[in-house]
Amino acid sequence: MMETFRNWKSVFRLFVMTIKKLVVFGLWLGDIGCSTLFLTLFTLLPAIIIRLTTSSLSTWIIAIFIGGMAAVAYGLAGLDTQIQSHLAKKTFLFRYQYLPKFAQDIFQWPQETLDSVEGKTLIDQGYEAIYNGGNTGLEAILNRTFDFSRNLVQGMALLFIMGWANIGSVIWLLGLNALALLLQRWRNNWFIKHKPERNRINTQVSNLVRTLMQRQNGKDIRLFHFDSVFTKYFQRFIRQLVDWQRKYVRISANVNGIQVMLNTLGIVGALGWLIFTKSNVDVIITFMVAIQAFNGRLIALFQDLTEIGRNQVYVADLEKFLAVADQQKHSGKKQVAAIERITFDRVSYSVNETEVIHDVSFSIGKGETVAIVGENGAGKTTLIKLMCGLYQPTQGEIRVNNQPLRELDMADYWRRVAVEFQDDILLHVTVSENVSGKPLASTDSKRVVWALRQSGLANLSPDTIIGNELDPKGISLSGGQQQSLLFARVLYRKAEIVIFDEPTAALDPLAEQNFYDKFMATFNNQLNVLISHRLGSTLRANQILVMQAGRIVQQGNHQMLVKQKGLYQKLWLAQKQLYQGKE
Amino acid sequence: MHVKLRIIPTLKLLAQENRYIVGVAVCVSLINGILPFVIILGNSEILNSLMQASYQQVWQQLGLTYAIYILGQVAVNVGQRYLDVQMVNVDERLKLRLRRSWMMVDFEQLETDDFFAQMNQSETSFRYSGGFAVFMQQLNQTIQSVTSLSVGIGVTVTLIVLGINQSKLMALLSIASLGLILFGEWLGLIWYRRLTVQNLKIFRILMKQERVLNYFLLEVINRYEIIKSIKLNQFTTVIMKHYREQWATSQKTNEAYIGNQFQSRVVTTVMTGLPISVLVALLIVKIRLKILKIGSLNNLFGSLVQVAASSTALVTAYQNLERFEQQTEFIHHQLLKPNVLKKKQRVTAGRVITFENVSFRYASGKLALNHVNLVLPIQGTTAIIGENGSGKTTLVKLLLGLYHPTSGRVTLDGVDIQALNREDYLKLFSPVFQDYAVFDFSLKENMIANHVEDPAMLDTLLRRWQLRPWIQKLPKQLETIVGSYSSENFQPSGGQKQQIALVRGGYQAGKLALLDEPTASLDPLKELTTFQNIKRFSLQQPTIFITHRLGAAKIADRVLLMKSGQLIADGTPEELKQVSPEFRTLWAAQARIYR
Repeated sequence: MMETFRNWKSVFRLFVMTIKKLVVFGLWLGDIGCSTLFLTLFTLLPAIIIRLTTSSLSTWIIAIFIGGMAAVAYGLAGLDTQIQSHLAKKTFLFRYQYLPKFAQDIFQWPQETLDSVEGKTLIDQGYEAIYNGGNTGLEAILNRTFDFSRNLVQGMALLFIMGWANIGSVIWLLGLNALALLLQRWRNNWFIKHKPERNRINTQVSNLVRTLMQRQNGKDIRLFHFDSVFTKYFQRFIRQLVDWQRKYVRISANVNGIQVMLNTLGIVGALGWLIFTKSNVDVIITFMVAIQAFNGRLIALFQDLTEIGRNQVYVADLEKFLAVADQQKHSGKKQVAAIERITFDRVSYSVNETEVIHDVSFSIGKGETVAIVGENGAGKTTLIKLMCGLYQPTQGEIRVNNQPLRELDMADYWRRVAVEFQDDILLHVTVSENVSGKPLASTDSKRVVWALRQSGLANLSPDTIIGNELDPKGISLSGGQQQSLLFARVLYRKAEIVIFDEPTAALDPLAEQNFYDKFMATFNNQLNVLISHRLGSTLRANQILVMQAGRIVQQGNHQMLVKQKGLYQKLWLAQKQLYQGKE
Repeated sequence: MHVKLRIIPTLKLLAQENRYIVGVAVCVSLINGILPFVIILGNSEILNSLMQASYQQVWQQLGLTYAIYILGQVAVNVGQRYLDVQMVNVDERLKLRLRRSWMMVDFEQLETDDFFAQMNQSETSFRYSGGFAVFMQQLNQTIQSVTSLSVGIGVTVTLIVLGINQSKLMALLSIASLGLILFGEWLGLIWYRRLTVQNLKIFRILMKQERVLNYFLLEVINRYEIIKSIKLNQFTTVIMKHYREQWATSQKTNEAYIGNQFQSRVVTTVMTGLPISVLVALLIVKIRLKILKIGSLNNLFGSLVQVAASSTALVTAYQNLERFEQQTEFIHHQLLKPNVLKKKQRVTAGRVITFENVSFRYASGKLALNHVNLVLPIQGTTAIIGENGSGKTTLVKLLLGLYHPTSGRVTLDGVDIQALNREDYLKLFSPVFQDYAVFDFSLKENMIANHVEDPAMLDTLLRRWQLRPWIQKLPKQLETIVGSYSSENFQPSGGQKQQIALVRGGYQAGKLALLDEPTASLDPLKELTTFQNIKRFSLQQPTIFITHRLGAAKIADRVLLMKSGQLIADGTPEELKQVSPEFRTLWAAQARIYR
């Protein structure tokens, strides 16, 4: 209960901070005022009719007067609906402004959090809090709060009317309904406790569905009949979801049943008491109408509380999500003037107690090209991620010039590093924006054209939009063209550190040659790092780091390493054999 | 009526999954609709008895009324329990059917933008509408509301009509009231209809806009592995700019939508207020004239309260239903498609695949293959080489029957492959493409997929493609589940993924292995072993491979050189070296490094 209230308070406080308080307060008062007035008029109407019809006034006057009263009451109801419409728009706007913030925050997260299961779950749950329209999440809490306040005041007005007629019945009614409310709390608590379990299942289902919806997976699914494996997993999740629902319904339906009983008992008791004490007919009829309306309010109140209870978990989820981005603001603040050297000093890196990089030391200076080679899974990409500052070493230190990397301002550092990873993507925007990474207004279009030409894409117009399934007018590029465009991106950057992870995997021999020529010609003053299986790329490197199982096992230049007995020589001879010798 | 016709397909779908669910839902809704009137009518009788001071009758009626009420509630509780559980089941099963139907779609249709747009749209719709469970809720609400409305209107009309024959004045008043009410309601319905049409229009636009926002989420923000490159390249500004534009547009649409919904409620209020005002006046006259008893007041008020509540609920439910039908058009289309299986020829043997003057043009107009003629016996090793964009992968896709030629045909032993049973034909091949997918299943499932488990064969392949070393290091080995949603959080490296794809292809045990760049992510040692293996096993396992590694082409028995969609050279590696200048250029570009 405390948890619910705390979460509710958070949301409400945030809401109040973003709105024009006077306007919303006025609307709220109007809503409550109109609706309560309407209900009161309506409830008292039968009693008034009875009094008037048993009096001596003219029939026509009474009829017109009463008819008029009813019309006024409904006019109020209409006005109330208009007011509610404005309130609904305000709550919507509140929720909606979180959408871009959500997107922006994710980009600031540390890489390790993004890679972890907890991180991904936080993202999914934060998404649920704000992307599900007005029925779930933040907006629902606020809408229900307004509903609740309206129903509460209306309920109290009805209670007052009934109590003024006969206080005993009202006390009986209230007592039983209080019991029913307690049961409600019990059910809500169960839901809150068990929701994470259902969340987990749904996250996994979403993940599979996302996989299905990715175009490049379609081939393999059909060629290998993966549909049956997908089905198996989906069916397993269905069973889990239905089991969860069964447990929930058992509790929910029992609580519901008892609540109905209590409610009915309340009505019967109240009416019985009135009859027993021989009250006036107009009192009884007022009571009958009031009880019906009161019942309706109670049910609505219960529903409001349930919904608020159900949705308040999203507040906690969202807060956890937002907290992660806040933590990030405490990164380093220093900036270096010009990047002269990067040093790895006995760096180790572990993931989940498994050491992936072990005791690595090397140094790269400005103007040098370093090639990293090694077998698959040796840790080359991880080394790059450490160099970029995406990961922090678990032991040892990485220094830029002589500053530890962890103390630097990452935003500034990343502006000066250009990386091309194996799994980079192009975005559904213009070619120019894909190359520059900036909005068109801040893009140097001449430089874009130069970069495109240098990468062999002179025929690609910078204004074309890269297509995807949302925009059939966009173009689609072949694998090689995509890789060339990514190269253009690096060329555009004017970075001080340039890193390539397998830049020619998809390129044909001529394009590959073009790449190496351009690479050697363009990047003279930077620190260049190249990961490649194509040992041809290592020929002109100043330094080659040979990695195996997370360690650097050999270091030197090509002429030196090719003569040493070791992994490099083995790799070289294997590749050479394909071109020259016999098998 | 318009909506009724379209609800039927949805009900049919639900009934396919669970025979009883629609019946139970209708019963529960009917009871729910009638129960309030049990109380109202009971109360009125009690009032009348009170006026006559016959207290014994009063207590009897009180007991009876509320006993029936409780029984009704018990029935509803039992029915609702069943519905709440089974609707989740049915909903999920229907979603699964939909997703399976995506997986079964023809490959060529799959690659069209139109299909992907529809798929995305249906997922967005599901999310926004709440799925079939919410449909059922809305349907229940509709039936309940219609029931309440009917009974309520029935009671009210009875009250109007009672005593109509007593005097001319009475008849005049009654008819005038009825006429006034009907006219007012008719006007209201027109207004309401216009709002509904507007509502549907806005909703359609809203769905489209939400889809675009979803793109940013699915393609960009939720592709976690891409975020690192977005951070490093500081793409955030571009992405956020486009996102915000979409977001602002969507915001306006949302607001219009909310406004429209509340307008409908105002209409309902007016449409309720009118009859109440008129009838209450009429009733007063009748009570004065002793045509009606006091109890009828309770009937009037009670019924009108119910009518008002039901109309509001009906309005919302009806709109939601219409909307649901709109969104699920695609789903119906997919799920209710009749299964038309054309009788196709079975494949028994497979010796030669022939390309007869095959050309292929993409839907975008780009010409990928240009009059290719090729005879491919299923034997030995064939290498396909050529520059990027020369048509190599397209050739292989046509070979597999994933694409249909725009002109010409592909035949197996003389028979057009379009006429052959698709399953049989695909079983001939063990394909490994460049953009292989590794799914979030166990390693074993990723390799075996749909086939029966054969440990011996699996072991052979694991050794051949050199996976044993790293699989043995994993605690759960082959049962390790890939991906970040499992406890192990195992993310295979690029090379490991390629090895998994190679095993998967090999496990298919096709007669012909098709490898598209099989060593792009492999280190030199594994690369050499891979091609040595291909050569060594070429007798048992004929192979066609696409490669940029010209050195690998050397080990093949036959080399096909492609350029701009045409086959410009075809022969042994030695022949090509002598005859084709293009081949020599490509060769030199790579080989010179090793001199």
